Amino acid sequence: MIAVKDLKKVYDYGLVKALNGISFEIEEGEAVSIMGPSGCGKTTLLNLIGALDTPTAGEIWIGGKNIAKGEPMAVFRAKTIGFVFQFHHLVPNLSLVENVELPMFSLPVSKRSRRDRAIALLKEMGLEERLNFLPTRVSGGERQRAAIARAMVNDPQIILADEPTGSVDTAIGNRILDFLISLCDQRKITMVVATHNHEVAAQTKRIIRMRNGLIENG
Amino acid sequence: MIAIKNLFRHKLRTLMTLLGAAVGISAFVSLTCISDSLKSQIQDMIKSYHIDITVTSKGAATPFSSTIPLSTYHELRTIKGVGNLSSLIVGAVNSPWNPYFLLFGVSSVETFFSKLGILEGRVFTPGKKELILGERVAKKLQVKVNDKILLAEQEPFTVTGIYTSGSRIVDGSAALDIQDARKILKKYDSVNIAFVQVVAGSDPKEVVEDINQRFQSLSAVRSGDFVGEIRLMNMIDVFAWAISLIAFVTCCIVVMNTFLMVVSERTKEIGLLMAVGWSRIMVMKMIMSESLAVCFAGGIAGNLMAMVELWLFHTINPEGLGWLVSMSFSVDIFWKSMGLSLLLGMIGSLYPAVRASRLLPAEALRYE
Repeated sequence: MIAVKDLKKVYDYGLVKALNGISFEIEEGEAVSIMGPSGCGKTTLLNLIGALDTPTAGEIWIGGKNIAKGEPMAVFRAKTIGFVFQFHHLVPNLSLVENVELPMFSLPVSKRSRRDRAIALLKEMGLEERLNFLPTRVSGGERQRAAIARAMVNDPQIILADEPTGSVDTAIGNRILDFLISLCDQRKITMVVATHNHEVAAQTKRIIRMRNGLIENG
Repeated sequence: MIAIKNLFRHKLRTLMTLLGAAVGISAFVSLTCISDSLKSQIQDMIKSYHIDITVTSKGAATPFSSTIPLSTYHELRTIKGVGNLSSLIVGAVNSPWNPYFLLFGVSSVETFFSKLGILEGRVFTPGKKELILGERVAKKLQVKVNDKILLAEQEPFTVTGIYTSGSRIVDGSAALDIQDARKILKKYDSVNIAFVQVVAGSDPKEVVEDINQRFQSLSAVRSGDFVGEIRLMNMIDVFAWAISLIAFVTCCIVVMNTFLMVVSERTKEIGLLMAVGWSRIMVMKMIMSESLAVCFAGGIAGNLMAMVELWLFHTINPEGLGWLVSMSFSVDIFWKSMGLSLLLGMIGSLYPAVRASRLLPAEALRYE
C-alpha cells in the first residue's frame, strides 16, 4: 500500500536534515506506529506520505502512484488520505457536522449527501447529540472524535494520525485510540500513527522507530 | 455559506471593512449623481425652449464666462437660415439668502416664457423694474406676487410672477428684462449666450457650420450638444471620476489589508483545509467570496449613504448649491456602483487570496 524509498527531506537550504534517506513498506490494512523522540522526523514523514509536502529526494508510492513528483495533490488527499492531528484543528465557527463535511467539498458530492454522510459518521462516533454544536461547546474527547469523523468521511485508504492522543488525558486518549484502531480495522484502512508514547505505539501491530531522521528498526 | 459564516467571526472588523467600502461607493454615487444632475438640468432647460442652436464665445469654460459683443450678436442675424434670435445674460449676485443667486436677463419674453408655467401673477414688463421668481426661491424667501426684493444693492424690484420650469436651476433663480440685468451684472455691451431658431426648411447643421466659419471668436453648437461643450461640465466629470478613483484605490487598500489579516490569522485553518483536500482554487474562492460579500453589502450601504449625503446637501443647501442637486436616484448609477463594489471586492482580495492559495499545507499547519 505504502512504499517509501530512500526518502530525504532537508529544510533551510540543507541546514536542517529532517529525513536522511529512509525506506520502508506498509501493507494494506496494516496499523503501524512511527515512534521516536521529538524532532526525529515523524511529522515530516507523515506530511510527506500525506502529500502535504514534497520530499527533497526519494520516492513515495501509494497504491501504485508515486506522489513525490510535486504535482497538485488536493484531490488525491481528499480521496485517499484522512488526517488526524494532535490538536483537532476543527474550524471554530463551524458546527461539528459542518466540520465533518469539509473534506467532501473537493469531491462531486451533493449538499444533501454531504450532510447525510457527515451526520451518519458523527452518530457512529456517538456524537448524535452534538451535531450542531460548535467545537468550543464540546469536550476535548468529543472534538477529537469529530476530527476522526472528518478524517473518515471520504472513505480514505489511509489514515495518518500525528500524536492523536496528545491533547487529551490518558484515559480519553486510550479510548480514542482504541476507537480509531477498531474503525480502521473494520474498514480495512491502513493506519500510520506518529507518536512518542510507548503505550500508544504498543497498540499497533508494527512499530517503526526513528532517530535523527533515520529508521532504527522497521 | 462558509464564507458568510467566516465574516461573522470578527463582526466589528467586517463592519469596518463594509463601511470602508461604503464610503468609497457613496463618494462615487454622490459625485456621479451631482454631475449627471447638473448636466441633465441644463440639457432639459435647453430642450424645453426648442432652441436649435446655442452660440457662446469660443473657449468659454461656462456660460457665465462667455462674452459675445453686441455688435457680433447683431451680425448673427445676417447668417442665412437664422430665424428668431434671442440673447441671454446670466450671472450670479451675492444676495443675503444665496451667495450665488442666479439671474437670467432675457431679451425675448416670448422665447423664454412660452414654455414656463406661471404659477401666480404675470410676466414682467420691460423697463419697469420687475422680475419673476422661480417657485423654489419664492418658497424659500416666502415672497408673494407684488412683494419687492433687493438685488445686489440696486433699487428694489417688484415680483410680478412666480414660475415653474421643471429645471431646478431655473426654479432657484430670477428672470428679468435684459436691460435691468445688464446694469446689475455690469454687462453693458455684451451678452453671454445667443439662441438661434432656424427658419423652416433650413438645416441647423449648415447654419452651425456657417456661424463657426464666419465668426472665429464664437462657438455655435446644436442645442443637444451644448452640455458637452461646456468645459466646466467636463471638468466636473473628470473631477468626479478622479475623486471616485482615489476613493476606489483607498477602499482597495482597506479591503486588501483586512483580508491579509484574515489570511494571516487563519493560516493554520487554510493548511487544514488543504490537508483535507481543498485545492488552491477553492481556497482562493473562499477568500474572494468573503470579500465580494462584504463589498456587495458595502455597495448597498454606500448607495444608502449617498442618498443621505445628497439629501443633506440638498437640505443644508451649502452656499446655495444644494438646489442644484436632484434627489432623483438613477437606476443606472445604482447598477454601476454595485458593479464597482464587486470589482472592489475582487481587486481588494486578489492578492490575499493568491497568498493564501500559495501556502504550503505542511508549513501552514505548523504556523503559530
